[in-house]
Amino acid sequence: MNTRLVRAAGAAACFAGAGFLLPPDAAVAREVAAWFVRPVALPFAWKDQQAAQKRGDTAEAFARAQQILDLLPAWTDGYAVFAYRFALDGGSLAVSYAERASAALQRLRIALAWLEAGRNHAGRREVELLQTMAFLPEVAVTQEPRLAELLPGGAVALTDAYLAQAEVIHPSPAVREQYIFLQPERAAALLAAGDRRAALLVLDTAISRSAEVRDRELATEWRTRLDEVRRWLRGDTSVDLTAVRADPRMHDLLPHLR
Amino acid sequence: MLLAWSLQALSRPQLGALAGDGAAAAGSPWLVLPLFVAAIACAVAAVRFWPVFAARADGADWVHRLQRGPWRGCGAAIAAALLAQVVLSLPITTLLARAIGAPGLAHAHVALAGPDVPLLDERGPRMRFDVPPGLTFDEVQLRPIASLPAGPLRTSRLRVLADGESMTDAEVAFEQSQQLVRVRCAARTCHHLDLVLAEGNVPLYFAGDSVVLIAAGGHSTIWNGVALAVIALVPTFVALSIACLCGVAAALATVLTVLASLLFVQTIGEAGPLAGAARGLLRGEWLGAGPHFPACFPFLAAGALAMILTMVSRRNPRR
Amino acid sequence: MATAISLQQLAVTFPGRGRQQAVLALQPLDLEIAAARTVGVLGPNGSGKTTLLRVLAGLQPATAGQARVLDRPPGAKDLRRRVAFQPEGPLPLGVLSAAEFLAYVGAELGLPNAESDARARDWLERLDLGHAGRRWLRTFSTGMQKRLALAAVLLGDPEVLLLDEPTAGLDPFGCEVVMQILRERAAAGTTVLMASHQLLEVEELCDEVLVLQDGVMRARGTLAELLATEEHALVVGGLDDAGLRQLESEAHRLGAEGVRIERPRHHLFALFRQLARRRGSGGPS
Repeated sequence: MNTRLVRAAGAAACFAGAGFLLPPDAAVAREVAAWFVRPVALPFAWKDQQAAQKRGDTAEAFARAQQILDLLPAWTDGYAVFAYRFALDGGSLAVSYAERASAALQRLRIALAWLEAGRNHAGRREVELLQTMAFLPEVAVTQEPRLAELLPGGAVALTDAYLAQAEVIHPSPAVREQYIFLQPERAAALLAAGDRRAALLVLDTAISRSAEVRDRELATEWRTRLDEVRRWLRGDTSVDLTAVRADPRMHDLLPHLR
Repeated sequence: MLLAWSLQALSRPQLGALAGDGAAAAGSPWLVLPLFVAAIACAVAAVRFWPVFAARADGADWVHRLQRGPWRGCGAAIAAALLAQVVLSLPITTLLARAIGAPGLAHAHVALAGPDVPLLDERGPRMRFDVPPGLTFDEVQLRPIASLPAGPLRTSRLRVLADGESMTDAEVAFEQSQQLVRVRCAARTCHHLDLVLAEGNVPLYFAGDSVVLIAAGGHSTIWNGVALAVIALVPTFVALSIACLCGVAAALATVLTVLASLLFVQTIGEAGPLAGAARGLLRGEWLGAGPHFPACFPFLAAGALAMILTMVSRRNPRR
Repeated sequence: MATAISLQQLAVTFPGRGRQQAVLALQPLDLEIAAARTVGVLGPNGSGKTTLLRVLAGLQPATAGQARVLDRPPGAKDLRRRVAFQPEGPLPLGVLSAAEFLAYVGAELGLPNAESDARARDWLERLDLGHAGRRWLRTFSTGMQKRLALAAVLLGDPEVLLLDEPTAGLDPFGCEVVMQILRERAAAGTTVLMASHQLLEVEELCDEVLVLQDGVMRARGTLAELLATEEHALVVGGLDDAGLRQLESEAHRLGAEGVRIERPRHHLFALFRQLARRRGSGGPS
């Protein structure tokens, strides 16, 4: 009998058995491959990304950024930087306002989707990534105001959703306060959408959670302002809104307090 | 080529509908790498096959005695290597390029020359560009260099006029330097393109290729691939020419090292015309009309100089 | 008789590089070789044999002096076919077959294709390479490469042959074939200048011999001139020991000195040559 053939068959059987007992992990294999590819590919990938960024070609710059993050998936700050750049590129289509807003929406969606994918690799920094995602829609709307009309519930709905997730993962005092201080804006968006009942619920929650604000004086003031707004919205027009009108944090609610 | 296609397919960036706007150019490494492999395979084969490329190579005396031309047959060997490389490169620059995402049609990019001082600011809020006669275009790309304004920054907004007619209903806003703005329109011709500063105080400098018209008529990407395959020959020609010059005095190992280094630097290192042309092809730029072929001339001149020096050196051998 | 090769104060110096000193490969050399002569060039390694041949082939410029081959400078274009040079070492273009290599040589020598192919076939058969005509050169053994190299230099029917170690690496049968061919070429009037370490072949083939050492010509002449001695040899057969003693006594009586009686031995090479001839004629080996 051919000895080489027997040996080859034996080796194949051993490998098959090993594969059955310990199935290979594609992620591990990919990571090991990345160890070898990374030092060779990264300098060129970085240079190409910078060149595309300098050239102003947003799509290409973002695509190359994805290649860099494929090589460095644990680089959380990279996800944040490149996602913001892509989403806020200022609009490369200049035919009409409607198309610009539509393009801005698409870029925002893609950036948020990519940041979502980045959460898998963020580890302990997932909360920071969520906070980054939370404020991206608001910044995008600031740059392209017409984008707000295309976002259901406005940018604040997305911000609220991401901060809520951040609070679940890591309810630190800072994260809680961010969430709490966002509520007036959220209530204003609901009032703008005509959902007074939901806006009042949001205000109830914000008032009940005002005790979580670390600064006692600020917490008291916050509760007082929100209570004044809630009473006015419930029909008590005798409430003095002077302090509310003077408070810049209540700015979004003012159009609904006339 | 198969390995490159499968690797890039695994790592293809997820961009959805925006992929058509030039994101395919991010796949240029997957085009340049196989071309580099084809180039180095053909170049190394030529150097190893033809003994005159290296000093004291086995059998060199036979060839030196039989071939009496100025390059002792190296010219023919280089030509053969380039021909072999074209055959290997064409599937890469046509089929693989399409698989990576190159658009089906390539369009000529025509850069417009502006006035002598192409600065658009509050003191000179209007700038005119002459359009080549007969050019039908469907997109204007603006990429000015922004400078610091005097006083608090107010975003500059421009109106783009073709023969006095506004091309957009929205003003074009520039917030940062070299920001790319595409103004699309139905295919049209015009005599002049005017940029008018409607508001803002950020000075905008329109340098050489800051205003580019994209021609409406498209060329088949197959021909664009052929053009890229031809451009890919330039690094090989330069590397082989200089290797031929080194071979007057250097042994095979040195010549191969020089050859590999020159090819690497010109292709993957992006010092040569190939990388820019590969990106252009993936962006849908018609290589026949752009700066890619003129960019080859300095490299061709360097290669020709190396061949001339080889000829002179072989006429006065020091052995 | 016309002069085929002429050297006047020919010298070759290889310049030094860095810490390496210049090497005087050939010291000023005067030499004339008549046409149709077969000359062997002997010498230890580094004596300048190969350098001399390369100068005559036009591959090495002389540092001083002058060389003429067939009354032309060695590098002249019209000498490419008239003067053939077989360098030492492997053949180039290893991915060509033997037939393709000879076709390449024939084309470069300006031979018409049909004539080149016919000559190539003849020489491949003559040199026992007919069965290997389609094999790549890189698969050839050293001996096969040497024989093919000889076929290549003879393809153009040259007037002068410059051969550097033409039989190195050949088995005795191959040596015999090569030597027979060189004898035929010499008889046909070809001038042969042959550098070799195979002293027996030089002795059998060459009309005269040059001896180089450290780039200097130490000796030159016919074999008879160089190897002559005062002694004479008398070869007898059919005598027993008593007869041989009587012969020795008679020699002493006639005044001979230093009489020696030895049983001559054939050279091993002669035995193989005999075997080769029998093989060639189909007789028993």
